[in-house]
Amino acid sequence: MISVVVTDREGVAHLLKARPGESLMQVARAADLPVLGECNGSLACATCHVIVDPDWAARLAAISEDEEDMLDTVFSLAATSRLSCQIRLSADLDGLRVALPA
Amino acid sequence: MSAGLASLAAVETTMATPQMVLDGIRNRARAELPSQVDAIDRDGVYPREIMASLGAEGLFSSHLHAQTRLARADLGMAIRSMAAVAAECMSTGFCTWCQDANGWYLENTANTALRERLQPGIGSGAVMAGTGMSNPMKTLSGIESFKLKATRVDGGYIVSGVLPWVSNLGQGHWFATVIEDATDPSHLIFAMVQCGQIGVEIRQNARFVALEGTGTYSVLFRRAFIADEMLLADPIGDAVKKILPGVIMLQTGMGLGVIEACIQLMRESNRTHGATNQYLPKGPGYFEDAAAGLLDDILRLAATPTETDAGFRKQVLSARLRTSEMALEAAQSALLHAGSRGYLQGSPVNRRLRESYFVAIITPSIRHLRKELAGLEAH
Repeated sequence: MISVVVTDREGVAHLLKARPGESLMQVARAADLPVLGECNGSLACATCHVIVDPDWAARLAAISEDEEDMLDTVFSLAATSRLSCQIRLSADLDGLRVALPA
Repeated sequence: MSAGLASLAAVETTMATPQMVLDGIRNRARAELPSQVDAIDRDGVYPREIMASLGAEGLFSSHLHAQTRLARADLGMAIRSMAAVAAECMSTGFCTWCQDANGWYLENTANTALRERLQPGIGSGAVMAGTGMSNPMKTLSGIESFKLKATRVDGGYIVSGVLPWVSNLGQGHWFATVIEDATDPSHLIFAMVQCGQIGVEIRQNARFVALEGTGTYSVLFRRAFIADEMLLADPIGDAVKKILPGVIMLQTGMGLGVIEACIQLMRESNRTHGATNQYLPKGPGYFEDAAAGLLDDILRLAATPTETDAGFRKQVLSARLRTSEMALEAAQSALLHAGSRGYLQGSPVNRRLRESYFVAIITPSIRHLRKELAGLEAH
């Protein structure tokens, strides 16, 4: 299992366990965190926005043009913002840390 | 003849009875939609030209007092006209609802300049328009949060965010939505937006199980400027409360059309399988009576569409809920009447089932309606 730490809007850190191949959006939703993912990962909304810990940002797969366009609509955009539906978890992301935007 | 009398005479010659308008729409829909309905439903063909020709018959104007060719604006006629279209193709019926709802927002705005600029085109079908009110309606019911946020600048607002699933859109089409002030969440702005204006992009990223040709897109706002001239209400005040009963009642036209089509499918099945189908618990006669009763109730409510008291809202939500549930039941019954013939790819029953699910899930969905009704019961 892969470990991921998601810090919620109140600053509480949640340790989540994931199987390889799952998206961070799926894992966060399964843990009842407020990650809506209304378009279910089809890059039609930005309701699964997360802010990746700067130490981990460069280790994620490169951002696509579609994801970048969608992130460009986000009001609380940060330098390491990503859509969690596009973060596919694998062993090399074991220990990934992200935060939910305020 | 004086200029005043001449213009009066022109109005009289273009005035039509409700039956004339309804017959014109039904005949046009029957002539143009059957050959296109599968391409619209499955292949994503947007029926732009058909919408324009139905608009020329008065499909989008019955409920708009400055555009209607009837003696007076009549929301009930708009519902019946939409039902006639949805009975042939609910995708086109849904596009009709989008167009009608937008015209209704303009009908009820205090921004007369905006109404005079846009409503004639929307009422005639020369200009297409949608409604981005799903997120606002859910947010006002405590189900979601606002997806668009604005900051005030000289002459308007700068808006960012994404609205997923807005329909009857294309380049140059208009839609209306509600935007939250980023610095004051209690300040809401009701605005008209045009697809393709700077900072507003439409994107089609998903496929649906039906209604593919309804021009349904995600709308991306990237620091888009919404000018004060484009505001339907700011602050929103009672504007949404005033328009919502009409918007929700208009949606019943989609469901009534599906029910009418399902009754017809049941009758067709009974021609060959009536001896067996008579044992089914509900048949076309049951649905015909139930739909007639539902239509009577809807038309009574539609006669006073801008009432806002709780009792009226409850009746409107109940009628909308009955429409959804009856459409689901009628589509299922159509399948039970058709048997395996209805279970084939491309069968009309197959499409009607998928259309009835849409009536049930479009905002306000059945679960949303039940939540609202439970809230009204509790008070």
